[in-house]
Amino acid sequence: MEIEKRRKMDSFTFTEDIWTVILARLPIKSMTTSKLVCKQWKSIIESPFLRELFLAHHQNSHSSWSLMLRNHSPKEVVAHYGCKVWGLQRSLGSYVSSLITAKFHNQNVRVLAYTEVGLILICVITSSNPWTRIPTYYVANPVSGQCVKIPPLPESFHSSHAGLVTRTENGVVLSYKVVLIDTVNNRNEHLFTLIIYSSETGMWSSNNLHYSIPISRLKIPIPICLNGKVVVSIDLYGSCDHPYRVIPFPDSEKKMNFKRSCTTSQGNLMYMNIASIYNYDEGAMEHKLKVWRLKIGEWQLVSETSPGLSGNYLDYSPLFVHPFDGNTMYMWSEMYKTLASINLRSGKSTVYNELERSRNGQTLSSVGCKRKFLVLSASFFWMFVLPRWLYRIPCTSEVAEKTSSGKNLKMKITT
Amino acid sequence: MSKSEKKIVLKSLDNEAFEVEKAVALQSQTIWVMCEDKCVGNEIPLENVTGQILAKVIDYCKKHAVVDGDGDESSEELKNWDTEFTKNMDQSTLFNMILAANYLNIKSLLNLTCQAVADKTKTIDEFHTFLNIENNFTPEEEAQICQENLWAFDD
Repeated sequence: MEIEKRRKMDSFTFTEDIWTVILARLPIKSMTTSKLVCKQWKSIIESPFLRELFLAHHQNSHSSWSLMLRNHSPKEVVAHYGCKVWGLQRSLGSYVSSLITAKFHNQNVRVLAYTEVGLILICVITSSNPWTRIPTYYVANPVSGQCVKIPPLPESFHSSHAGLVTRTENGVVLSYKVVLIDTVNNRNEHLFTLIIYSSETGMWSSNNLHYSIPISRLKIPIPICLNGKVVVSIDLYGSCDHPYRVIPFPDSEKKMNFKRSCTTSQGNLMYMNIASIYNYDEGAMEHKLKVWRLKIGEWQLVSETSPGLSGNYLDYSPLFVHPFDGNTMYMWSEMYKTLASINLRSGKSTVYNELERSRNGQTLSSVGCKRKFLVLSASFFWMFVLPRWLYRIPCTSEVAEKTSSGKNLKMKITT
Repeated sequence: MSKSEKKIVLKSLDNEAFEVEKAVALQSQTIWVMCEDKCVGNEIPLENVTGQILAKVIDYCKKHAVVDGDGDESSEELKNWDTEFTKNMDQSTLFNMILAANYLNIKSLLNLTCQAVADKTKTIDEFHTFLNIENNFTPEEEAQICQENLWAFDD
Protein backbone atom coordinates (compact mmCIF):
# COMPACT_ATOMS: atom_id res chain seq x y z
CA MET A 1 0.00 0.00 0.00
CA GLU A 2 2.71 2.41 1.05
CA ILE A 3 4.87 1.56 -1.96
CA GLU A 4 1.95 1.99 -4.30
CA LYS A 5 1.26 5.43 -2.90
CA ARG A 6 4.90 6.39 -3.35
CA ARG A 7 4.94 5.23 -6.93
CA LYS A 8 1.91 7.34 -7.60
CA MET A 9 3.81 10.38 -6.35
CA ASP A 10 6.72 9.74 -8.67
CA SER A 11 4.88 10.06 -11.94
CA PHE A 12 4.17 13.71 -12.47
CA THR A 13 0.70 14.01 -13.74
CA PHE A 14 0.17 17.72 -13.34
CA THR A 15 -3.31 19.02 -13.82
CA GLU A 16 -3.95 21.57 -16.55
CA ASP A 17 -4.20 24.26 -13.85
CA ILE A 18 -0.66 23.59 -12.64
CA TRP A 19 0.71 23.57 -16.19
CA THR A 20 -1.02 26.91 -16.72
CA VAL A 21 0.67 28.41 -13.65
CA ILE A 22 4.08 27.14 -14.83
CA LEU A 23 3.65 28.28 -18.43
CA ALA A 24 2.35 31.71 -17.40
CA ARG A 25 5.72 32.27 -15.75
CA LEU A 26 7.61 32.04 -19.04
CA PRO A 27 8.50 35.16 -21.04
CA ILE A 28 6.24 35.61 -24.09
CA LYS A 29 8.98 34.50 -26.50
CA SER A 30 9.67 31.17 -24.76
CA MET A 31 5.96 30.71 -24.20
CA THR A 32 5.32 31.02 -27.92
CA THR A 33 7.99 28.45 -28.80
CA SER A 34 6.56 26.16 -26.09
CA LYS A 35 3.44 25.70 -28.18
CA LEU A 36 5.56 23.13 -30.02
CA VAL A 37 5.94 20.89 -26.97
CA CYS A 38 2.58 19.10 -27.24
CA LYS A 39 -1.06 19.68 -28.13
CA GLN A 40 -2.11 20.18 -24.53
CA TRP A 41 0.46 22.95 -24.03
CA LYS A 42 -0.56 24.71 -27.22
CA SER A 43 -4.16 24.86 -26.08
CA ILE A 44 -3.14 26.01 -22.57
CA ILE A 45 -0.93 28.77 -23.99
CA GLU A 46 -3.73 29.99 -26.22
CA SER A 47 -6.29 30.00 -23.37
CA PRO A 48 -7.69 33.23 -21.90
CA PHE A 49 -7.00 31.88 -18.38
CA LEU A 50 -3.25 31.80 -19.02
CA ARG A 51 -3.36 35.31 -20.41
CA GLU A 52 -5.12 36.56 -17.27
CA LEU A 53 -2.56 34.87 -15.02
CA PHE A 54 0.29 36.29 -17.07
CA LEU A 55 -1.09 39.82 -17.02
CA ALA A 56 -1.77 39.65 -13.28
CA HIS A 57 1.78 38.42 -12.68
CA HIS A 58 3.28 41.20 -14.79
CA GLN A 59 0.98 44.07 -13.84
CA ASN A 60 3.95 46.02 -12.48
CA SER A 61 6.65 44.63 -14.78
CA HIS A 62 8.50 46.78 -17.25
CA SER A 63 8.10 45.65 -20.84
CA SER A 64 10.58 46.36 -23.66
CA TRP A 65 10.73 49.94 -24.92
CA SER A 66 12.83 52.18 -27.09
CA LEU A 67 13.15 55.88 -27.68
CA MET A 68 13.16 56.31 -31.45
CA LEU A 69 14.33 59.23 -33.51
CA ARG A 70 11.70 60.88 -35.70
CA ASN A 71 11.91 61.44 -39.44
CA HIS A 72 14.65 58.96 -39.95
CA SER A 73 15.19 55.47 -41.04
CA PRO A 74 14.66 53.46 -37.84
CA LYS A 75 17.18 54.84 -35.41
CA GLU A 76 17.20 54.14 -31.74
CA VAL A 77 18.32 56.61 -29.12
CA VAL A 78 17.74 54.60 -25.95
CA ALA A 79 16.70 50.95 -25.77
CA HIS A 80 15.54 48.73 -22.95
CA TYR A 81 15.17 45.00 -23.59
CA GLY A 82 15.77 41.56 -22.10
CA CYS A 83 12.84 42.00 -19.71
CA LYS A 84 11.00 39.04 -18.20
CA VAL A 85 7.77 40.00 -19.97
CA TRP A 86 9.05 39.27 -23.48
CA GLY A 87 12.51 37.76 -23.03
CA LEU A 88 13.78 39.46 -26.20
CA GLN A 89 17.52 39.40 -26.75
CA ARG A 90 17.46 42.28 -29.23
CA SER A 91 16.26 45.86 -29.02
CA LEU A 92 12.96 46.96 -30.56
CA GLY A 93 14.82 49.11 -33.08
CA SER A 94 16.55 46.02 -34.44
CA TYR A 95 13.15 44.33 -34.84
CA VAL A 96 11.91 47.34 -36.82
CA SER A 97 14.97 47.15 -39.09
CA SER A 98 14.57 43.39 -39.58
CA LEU A 99 10.91 43.79 -40.50
CA ILE A 100 11.71 46.46 -43.08
CA THR A 101 14.52 44.40 -44.60
CA ALA A 102 12.43 41.24 -44.72
CA LYS A 103 9.20 42.72 -46.13
CA PHE A 104 10.22 45.77 -48.12
CA HIS A 105 13.79 45.22 -49.26
CA ASN A 106 15.13 47.86 -51.64
CA GLN A 107 12.04 50.03 -51.41
CA ASN A 108 11.72 53.57 -50.16
CA VAL A 109 10.43 52.91 -46.67
CA ARG A 110 9.85 55.24 -43.76
CA VAL A 111 8.47 54.63 -40.32
CA LEU A 112 6.03 57.47 -39.76
CA ALA A 113 4.83 56.66 -36.26
CA TYR A 114 5.53 54.48 -33.25
CA THR A 115 3.01 53.73 -30.50
CA GLU A 116 2.80 52.65 -26.87
CA VAL A 117 0.97 49.47 -27.91
CA GLY A 118 3.70 47.85 -29.98
CA LEU A 119 2.45 48.94 -33.42
CA ILE A 120 4.13 51.14 -35.99
CA LEU A 121 2.97 52.98 -39.11
CA ILE A 122 5.05 52.40 -42.23
CA CYS A 123 4.93 54.28 -45.50
CA VAL A 124 6.30 52.72 -48.68
CA ILE A 125 6.76 54.80 -51.81
CA THR A 126 6.93 52.60 -54.87
CA SER A 127 7.82 55.01 -57.65
CA SER A 128 10.89 57.15 -57.78
CA ASN A 129 9.16 59.81 -59.90
CA PRO A 130 7.96 62.48 -57.44
CA TRP A 131 4.86 63.28 -59.55
CA THR A 132 3.57 59.75 -59.67
CA ARG A 133 4.60 58.67 -56.23
CA ILE A 134 1.84 56.67 -54.63
CA PRO A 135 2.45 55.93 -50.99
CA THR A 136 1.20 52.72 -49.46
CA TYR A 137 0.66 52.60 -45.73
CA TYR A 138 1.11 49.58 -43.49
CA VAL A 139 0.39 48.99 -39.82
CA ALA A 140 2.84 46.50 -38.39
CA ASN A 141 3.97 44.77 -35.26
CA PRO A 142 7.75 44.61 -35.73
CA VAL A 143 8.21 41.86 -33.14
CA SER A 144 5.66 39.34 -34.43
CA GLY A 145 6.24 40.50 -38.01
CA GLN A 146 2.50 40.91 -38.63
CA CYS A 147 1.94 43.57 -41.26
CA VAL A 148 -1.44 44.89 -42.46
CA LYS A 149 -1.72 46.82 -45.71
CA ILE A 150 -4.03 49.83 -45.55
CA PRO A 151 -6.32 50.24 -48.62
CA PRO A 152 -5.02 52.92 -50.97
CA LEU A 153 -6.03 56.53 -50.60
CA PRO A 154 -8.74 57.57 -53.08
CA GLU A 155 -6.40 60.21 -54.47
CA SER A 156 -2.68 60.52 -54.38
CA PHE A 157 -1.65 62.33 -51.28
CA HIS A 158 1.43 62.09 -49.22
CA SER A 159 2.27 63.55 -45.87
CA SER A 160 5.22 62.77 -43.71
CA HIS A 161 3.31 64.10 -40.73
CA ALA A 162 1.28 61.14 -39.71
CA GLY A 163 0.09 59.36 -36.64
CA LEU A 164 -1.27 55.98 -35.65
CA VAL A 165 -4.04 56.16 -33.09
CA THR A 166 -5.40 53.16 -31.25
CA ARG A 167 -8.45 52.45 -29.14
CA THR A 168 -7.53 50.07 -26.37
CA GLU A 169 -9.45 48.29 -23.65
CA ASN A 170 -7.52 46.60 -20.85
CA GLY A 171 -4.41 46.76 -22.99
CA VAL A 172 -6.06 45.12 -26.02
CA VAL A 173 -6.04 47.14 -29.23
CA LEU A 174 -9.62 47.07 -30.52
CA SER A 175 -9.22 49.38 -33.48
CA TYR A 176 -6.83 51.86 -34.97
CA LYS A 177 -6.80 54.97 -37.12
CA VAL A 178 -4.12 56.15 -39.49
CA VAL A 179 -4.00 59.95 -39.39
CA LEU A 180 -2.29 61.98 -42.09
CA ILE A 181 -1.85 65.69 -41.55
CA ASP A 182 -2.22 67.90 -44.59
CA THR A 183 -0.43 71.16 -44.10
CA VAL A 184 0.24 72.06 -47.71
CA ASN A 185 -2.98 71.91 -49.68
CA ASN A 186 -5.02 74.39 -47.67
CA ARG A 187 -5.36 77.96 -48.80
CA ASN A 188 -7.09 79.03 -45.65
CA GLU A 189 -4.48 79.92 -43.11
CA HIS A 190 -6.63 78.81 -40.21
CA LEU A 191 -7.59 75.47 -41.67
CA PHE A 192 -5.74 72.25 -41.26
CA THR A 193 -6.92 68.92 -42.66
CA LEU A 194 -6.65 65.47 -41.14
CA ILE A 195 -7.07 62.53 -43.47
CA ILE A 196 -8.06 59.51 -41.44
CA TYR A 197 -8.31 55.80 -42.14
CA SER A 198 -10.36 53.83 -39.63
CA SER A 199 -9.91 50.08 -39.17
CA GLU A 200 -13.54 49.92 -38.00
CA THR A 201 -15.01 51.16 -41.28
CA GLY A 202 -12.14 50.28 -43.59
CA MET A 203 -12.52 53.76 -45.14
CA TRP A 204 -10.57 56.96 -45.48
CA SER A 205 -12.23 60.22 -44.50
CA SER A 206 -11.23 63.83 -44.22
CA ASN A 207 -11.72 66.20 -41.30
CA ASN A 208 -11.00 69.89 -41.08
CA LEU A 209 -9.53 71.54 -38.04
CA HIS A 210 -9.89 75.22 -37.37
CA TYR A 211 -7.02 76.97 -35.80
CA SER A 212 -7.12 80.21 -33.93
CA ILE A 213 -3.66 81.08 -35.09
CA PRO A 214 -2.39 81.08 -38.67
CA ILE A 215 -0.74 77.85 -39.75
CA SER A 216 2.33 79.69 -40.96
CA ARG A 217 3.12 80.34 -37.31
CA LEU A 218 2.85 76.70 -36.36
CA LYS A 219 5.96 75.54 -38.16
CA ILE A 220 6.12 71.80 -38.61
CA PRO A 221 3.52 69.85 -36.69
CA ILE A 222 4.88 66.78 -34.98
CA PRO A 223 2.14 64.39 -33.98
CA ILE A 224 2.25 62.24 -30.89
CA CYS A 225 -0.20 59.37 -30.58
CA LEU A 226 -1.83 58.56 -27.33
CA ASN A 227 -4.92 56.71 -26.19
CA GLY A 228 -7.11 57.55 -29.13
CA LYS A 229 -5.75 61.05 -29.48
CA VAL A 230 -3.28 62.63 -31.81
CA VAL A 231 -1.52 65.37 -30.04
CA VAL A 232 0.11 67.65 -32.50
CA SER A 233 3.05 69.29 -30.89
CA ILE A 234 3.93 72.41 -32.74
CA ASP A 235 6.42 75.08 -31.97
CA LEU A 236 4.76 76.38 -28.84
CA TYR A 237 1.25 75.07 -29.25
CA GLY A 238 -0.43 71.74 -29.00
CA SER A 239 -3.76 70.44 -30.15
CA CYS A 240 -5.68 67.23 -29.88
CA ASP A 241 -8.43 66.03 -32.17
CA HIS A 242 -11.01 64.86 -29.64
CA PRO A 243 -12.23 67.51 -29.22
CA TYR A 244 -10.26 69.56 -31.71
CA ARG A 245 -8.74 72.05 -29.41
CA VAL A 246 -5.56 73.98 -28.98
CA ILE A 247 -3.76 73.42 -25.74
CA PRO A 248 -0.73 75.64 -25.35
CA PHE A 249 2.31 74.12 -23.73
CA PRO A 250 2.61 75.27 -20.13
CA ASP A 251 5.74 77.28 -20.70
CA SER A 252 4.60 79.02 -23.87
CA GLU A 253 4.41 82.42 -22.13
CA LYS A 254 7.93 82.28 -20.79
CA LYS A 255 10.67 84.19 -22.52
CA MET A 256 13.64 82.43 -20.96
CA ASN A 257 15.88 79.90 -22.63
CA PHE A 258 14.96 76.32 -22.08
CA LYS A 259 15.20 72.92 -23.66
CA ARG A 260 12.21 70.67 -23.75
CA SER A 261 10.82 67.33 -24.77
CA CYS A 262 7.43 65.70 -24.95
CA THR A 263 6.88 61.94 -24.67
CA THR A 264 4.37 59.49 -23.30
CA SER A 265 4.50 57.54 -20.05
CA GLN A 266 1.94 55.14 -18.59
CA GLY A 267 -0.74 56.39 -20.96
CA ASN A 268 -0.11 60.07 -20.22
CA LEU A 269 1.45 62.81 -22.27
CA MET A 270 4.43 64.21 -20.41
CA TYR A 271 6.06 67.53 -21.15
CA MET A 272 9.35 68.54 -19.59
CA ASN A 273 11.76 71.41 -19.81
CA ILE A 274 15.06 72.45 -18.33
CA ALA A 275 15.55 76.15 -17.77
CA SER A 276 18.88 77.47 -16.66
CA ILE A 277 19.25 80.68 -14.72
CA TYR A 278 22.42 82.30 -13.64
CA ASN A 279 22.36 82.65 -9.88
CA TYR A 280 24.38 85.81 -9.06
CA ASP A 281 24.56 85.03 -5.34
CA GLU A 282 26.08 81.64 -5.95
CA GLY A 283 27.94 82.72 -9.04
CA ALA A 284 26.86 79.58 -10.87
CA MET A 285 24.28 78.24 -13.28
CA GLU A 286 21.19 76.83 -11.66
CA HIS A 287 19.09 74.28 -13.51
CA LYS A 288 15.37 74.13 -13.00
CA LEU A 289 13.66 71.00 -14.23
CA LYS A 290 9.89 70.98 -14.60
CA VAL A 291 7.67 68.10 -15.67
CA TRP A 292 3.98 68.34 -16.55
CA ARG A 293 1.33 65.74 -17.28
CA LEU A 294 -1.61 66.41 -19.57
CA LYS A 295 -4.81 65.57 -17.73
CA ILE A 296 -8.28 66.28 -19.16
CA GLY A 297 -6.96 69.03 -21.36
CA GLU A 298 -4.96 70.71 -18.61
CA TRP A 299 -1.28 70.63 -17.87
CA GLN A 300 -0.58 69.51 -14.33
CA LEU A 301 2.79 70.31 -12.86
CA VAL A 302 4.13 66.95 -11.65
CA SER A 303 7.53 67.96 -10.45
CA GLU A 304 9.77 70.97 -10.09
CA THR A 305 13.31 70.24 -9.00
CA SER A 306 16.73 71.77 -9.14
CA PRO A 307 18.89 68.77 -9.82
CA GLY A 308 22.39 69.37 -8.55
CA LEU A 309 23.92 69.37 -12.00
CA SER A 310 26.97 71.33 -12.86
CA GLY A 311 27.75 73.04 -16.11
CA ASN A 312 25.98 75.09 -18.72
CA TYR A 313 22.33 74.53 -19.66
CA LEU A 314 23.47 73.49 -23.10
CA ASP A 315 24.95 70.45 -21.44
CA TYR A 316 21.62 68.84 -20.67
CA SER A 317 18.74 67.82 -22.89
CA PRO A 318 15.55 66.39 -21.43
CA LEU A 319 14.75 63.18 -23.26
CA PHE A 320 11.79 61.31 -21.83
CA VAL A 321 9.93 60.10 -18.80
CA HIS A 322 10.32 56.34 -18.19
CA PRO A 323 7.35 54.68 -19.93
CA PHE A 324 6.57 52.43 -16.96
CA ASP A 325 7.69 54.66 -14.11
CA GLY A 326 6.35 58.20 -14.08
CA ASN A 327 8.81 59.20 -11.36
CA THR A 328 11.93 58.66 -13.41
CA MET A 329 13.02 61.09 -16.08
CA TYR A 330 16.00 60.67 -18.37
CA MET A 331 18.17 63.29 -19.91
CA TRP A 332 21.25 63.38 -22.03
CA SER A 333 24.35 65.05 -20.69
CA GLU A 334 26.35 66.45 -23.55
CA MET A 335 29.13 67.36 -21.17
CA TYR A 336 29.71 63.83 -19.93
CA LYS A 337 28.32 62.04 -23.00
CA THR A 338 26.15 60.00 -20.73
CA LEU A 339 22.56 59.28 -19.95
CA ALA A 340 21.41 60.66 -16.61
CA SER A 341 18.24 59.69 -14.76
CA ILE A 342 16.47 61.83 -12.22
CA ASN A 343 14.05 60.67 -9.58
CA LEU A 344 11.34 63.31 -9.77
CA ARG A 345 10.28 62.75 -6.18
CA SER A 346 13.62 62.99 -4.46
CA GLY A 347 15.42 65.09 -7.08
CA LYS A 348 18.27 62.60 -6.90
CA SER A 349 20.17 62.13 -10.13
CA THR A 350 22.16 59.16 -11.36
CA VAL A 351 24.66 59.37 -14.18
CA TYR A 352 25.21 56.23 -16.24
CA ASN A 353 28.82 56.27 -17.19
CA GLU A 354 28.45 53.34 -19.52
CA LEU A 355 26.42 53.66 -22.68
CA GLU A 356 25.16 50.16 -22.18
CA ARG A 357 24.56 48.41 -18.92
CA SER A 358 23.06 45.04 -18.20
CA ARG A 359 21.53 43.85 -15.01
CA ASN A 360 19.48 40.72 -14.31
CA GLY A 361 19.54 39.89 -17.99
CA GLN A 362 18.05 43.28 -18.88
CA THR A 363 19.87 45.80 -20.99
CA LEU A 364 19.57 49.57 -21.02
CA SER A 365 21.44 50.95 -23.98
CA SER A 366 21.85 54.59 -24.93
CA VAL A 367 24.29 54.18 -27.78
CA GLY A 368 22.21 56.34 -30.13
CA CYS A 369 22.51 59.29 -27.76
CA LYS A 370 26.01 60.02 -28.86
CA ARG A 371 24.78 61.82 -31.92
CA LYS A 372 25.14 65.54 -32.04
CA PHE A 373 21.51 66.36 -32.85
CA LEU A 374 20.57 66.06 -29.23
CA VAL A 375 22.24 69.36 -28.49
CA LEU A 376 19.86 71.23 -30.71
CA SER A 377 16.38 70.24 -29.74
CA ALA A 378 14.95 67.25 -28.06
CA SER A 379 11.41 67.18 -29.38
CA PHE A 380 12.20 64.73 -32.15
CA PHE A 381 11.34 61.48 -30.45
CA TRP A 382 8.77 58.75 -30.52
CA MET A 383 8.41 56.47 -27.53
CA PHE A 384 7.95 52.91 -28.78
CA VAL A 385 6.66 50.49 -26.16
CA LEU A 386 5.60 46.86 -26.28
CA PRO A 387 2.44 45.98 -24.38
CA ARG A 388 2.57 43.19 -21.82
CA TRP A 389 0.98 40.67 -24.18
CA LEU A 390 1.15 39.78 -27.86
CA TYR A 391 -2.01 40.87 -29.65
CA ARG A 392 -2.95 40.47 -33.29
CA ILE A 393 -3.54 43.67 -35.22
CA PRO A 394 -7.33 44.16 -35.28
CA CYS A 395 -8.96 43.36 -38.59
CA THR A 396 -11.57 45.42 -40.29
CA SER A 397 -14.98 43.88 -39.61
CA GLU A 398 -16.49 41.75 -42.36
CA VAL A 399 -19.07 44.29 -43.48
CA ALA A 400 -16.46 46.99 -43.70
CA GLU A 401 -14.10 44.66 -45.53
CA LYS A 402 -16.67 44.13 -48.25
CA THR A 403 -17.03 47.86 -48.60
CA SER A 404 -13.35 48.48 -48.79
CA SER A 405 -12.70 45.69 -51.26
CA GLY A 406 -15.27 47.22 -53.61
CA LYS A 407 -13.95 49.47 -56.29
CA ASN A 408 -16.02 52.51 -55.36
CA LEU A 409 -14.00 53.50 -52.34
CA LYS A 410 -14.97 57.06 -51.66
CA MET A 411 -13.48 59.63 -49.44
CA LYS A 412 -15.99 61.50 -47.36
CA ILE A 413 -15.21 65.17 -47.45
CA THR A 414 -16.55 67.33 -44.70
CA THR A 415 -16.37 71.03 -45.29
CA MET B 1 -5.39 29.92 24.16
CA SER B 2 -3.22 27.38 25.95
CA LYS B 3 0.19 26.42 24.66
CA SER B 4 -0.89 23.01 23.38
CA GLU B 5 -3.68 24.56 21.30
CA LYS B 6 -1.21 26.66 19.42
CA LYS B 7 0.55 23.57 18.15
CA ILE B 8 -0.65 21.21 15.51
CA VAL B 9 0.60 17.82 14.28
CA LEU B 10 0.90 17.14 10.54
CA LYS B 11 1.20 13.55 9.50
CA SER B 12 2.70 12.64 6.14
CA LEU B 13 1.78 9.87 3.73
CA ASP B 14 4.62 7.73 5.15
CA ASN B 15 3.47 8.37 8.72
CA GLU B 16 6.06 10.91 9.68
CA ALA B 17 4.69 13.34 12.26
CA PHE B 18 5.63 17.02 12.41
CA GLU B 19 4.63 19.24 15.29
CA VAL B 20 4.37 22.86 14.14
CA GLU B 21 2.94 26.17 15.32
CA LYS B 22 -0.61 26.60 14.14
CA ALA B 23 0.24 29.94 12.55
CA VAL B 24 2.84 28.14 10.42
CA ALA B 25 0.49 25.41 9.28
CA LEU B 26 -2.44 27.72 8.60
CA GLN B 27 -0.67 29.23 5.59
CA SER B 28 -2.04 26.18 3.88
CA GLN B 29 -5.62 26.93 2.90
CA THR B 30 -6.33 23.20 2.91
CA ILE B 31 -5.23 22.82 6.54
CA TRP B 32 -7.03 26.03 7.44
CA VAL B 33 -10.31 24.65 6.09
CA MET B 34 -9.73 21.35 7.92
CA CYS B 35 -9.20 23.20 11.19
CA GLU B 36 -12.22 25.44 10.63
CA ASP B 37 -14.41 22.41 10.05
CA LYS B 38 -13.22 20.96 13.35
CA CYS B 39 -13.56 17.57 11.69
CA VAL B 40 -10.04 16.74 12.73
CA GLY B 41 -8.35 16.74 16.08
CA ASN B 42 -4.93 18.16 16.69
CA GLU B 43 -3.44 15.70 14.24
CA ILE B 44 -3.94 16.25 10.54
CA PRO B 45 -3.22 13.42 8.10
CA LEU B 46 -1.88 14.61 4.74
CA GLU B 47 -2.30 11.70 2.38
CA ASN B 48 -0.65 13.22 -0.63
CA VAL B 49 2.65 14.44 0.79
CA THR B 50 5.72 12.43 1.78
CA GLY B 51 7.70 13.25 4.92
CA GLN B 52 10.69 14.41 2.90
CA ILE B 53 8.61 16.95 0.98
CA LEU B 54 6.49 17.95 3.97
CA ALA B 55 9.66 18.84 5.90
CA LYS B 56 10.62 21.26 3.11
CA VAL B 57 7.12 22.72 2.93
CA ILE B 58 7.24 23.33 6.70
CA ASP B 59 10.66 25.01 6.34
CA TYR B 60 9.12 27.36 3.79
CA CYS B 61 6.05 28.07 5.93
CA LYS B 62 8.18 28.76 9.02
CA LYS B 63 10.20 31.29 7.08
CA HIS B 64 7.08 32.97 5.75
CA ALA B 65 4.96 32.84 8.90
CA VAL B 66 4.30 36.00 10.82
CA VAL B 67 4.49 34.71 14.38
CA ASP B 68 4.44 37.07 17.35
CA GLY B 69 7.05 39.55 16.24
CA ASP B 70 9.06 36.91 14.42
CA GLY B 71 7.94 38.09 11.03
CA ASP B 72 10.12 41.16 10.68
CA GLU B 73 12.26 39.75 7.90
CA SER B 74 12.76 42.30 5.16
CA SER B 75 11.14 41.43 1.85
CA GLU B 76 14.53 41.54 0.15
CA GLU B 77 15.88 38.96 2.56
CA LEU B 78 12.84 36.74 2.06
CA LYS B 79 13.28 36.95 -1.70
CA ASN B 80 16.90 35.85 -1.43
CA TRP B 81 15.90 33.05 0.88
CA ASP B 82 13.27 31.90 -1.65
CA THR B 83 15.84 31.91 -4.45
CA GLU B 84 18.26 29.81 -2.38
CA PHE B 85 15.41 27.51 -1.34
CA THR B 86 14.62 26.36 -4.90
CA LYS B 87 18.08 26.84 -6.39
CA ASN B 88 19.52 23.44 -5.67
CA MET B 89 16.35 21.38 -5.72
CA ASP B 90 16.48 18.49 -8.13
CA GLN B 91 13.74 17.99 -10.68
CA SER B 92 11.78 15.37 -8.79
CA THR B 93 11.81 17.35 -5.53
CA LEU B 94 10.71 20.48 -7.36
CA PHE B 95 7.82 18.66 -9.01
CA ASN B 96 6.75 17.07 -5.76
CA MET B 97 6.88 20.50 -4.12
CA ILE B 98 4.54 21.83 -6.82
CA LEU B 99 2.12 18.98 -6.21
CA ALA B 100 2.31 19.52 -2.46
CA ALA B 101 1.86 23.29 -2.74
CA ASN B 102 -1.12 22.71 -4.98
CA TYR B 103 -2.67 20.10 -2.69
CA LEU B 104 -2.05 22.12 0.46
CA ASN B 105 -3.15 25.26 -1.40
CA ILE B 106 -0.23 27.52 -0.51
CA LYS B 107 -0.36 30.10 -3.31
CA SER B 108 3.02 31.77 -2.77
CA LEU B 109 4.85 28.43 -2.64
CA LEU B 110 3.08 27.24 -5.77
CA ASN B 111 4.11 30.41 -7.58
CA LEU B 112 7.68 30.12 -6.34
CA THR B 113 8.11 26.50 -7.41
CA CYS B 114 6.38 27.03 -10.76
CA GLN B 115 8.65 30.01 -11.43
CA ALA B 116 11.65 27.80 -10.63
CA VAL B 117 10.55 25.21 -13.21
CA ALA B 118 9.92 27.97 -15.77
CA ASP B 119 13.37 29.46 -15.10
CA LYS B 120 15.16 26.13 -15.35
CA THR B 121 13.85 25.14 -18.76
CA LYS B 122 14.83 27.23 -21.73
CA THR B 123 14.49 25.20 -24.91
CA ILE B 124 11.85 22.94 -26.39
CA ASP B 125 14.14 19.91 -26.07
CA GLU B 126 14.61 20.69 -22.39
CA PHE B 127 10.86 20.71 -21.96
CA HIS B 128 10.60 17.31 -23.57
CA THR B 129 13.35 15.74 -21.48
CA PHE B 130 13.17 17.71 -18.24
CA LEU B 131 9.42 17.63 -18.01
CA ASN B 132 9.15 14.21 -19.61
CA ILE B 133 6.49 15.19 -22.13
CA GLU B 134 5.86 13.43 -25.40
CA ASN B 135 5.58 15.45 -28.57
CA ASN B 136 2.24 14.50 -30.16
CA PHE B 137 2.34 16.77 -33.21
CA THR B 138 2.69 15.53 -36.77
CA PRO B 139 5.59 17.07 -38.72
CA GLU B 140 3.05 19.07 -40.76
CA GLU B 141 1.42 20.51 -37.64
CA GLU B 142 4.85 21.33 -36.26
CA ALA B 143 5.81 23.15 -39.43
CA GLN B 144 2.60 25.16 -39.32
CA ILE B 145 3.14 26.29 -35.72
CA CYS B 146 6.68 27.34 -36.60
CA GLN B 147 5.42 29.24 -39.62
CA GLU B 148 2.75 31.07 -37.61
CA ASN B 149 5.19 32.07 -34.89
CA LEU B 150 8.37 32.58 -36.87
CA TRP B 151 9.48 35.58 -34.80
CA ALA B 152 9.81 33.50 -31.64
CA PHE B 153 12.08 30.93 -33.30
CA ASP B 154 14.69 33.35 -34.62
CA ASP B 155 18.05 33.86 -32.84
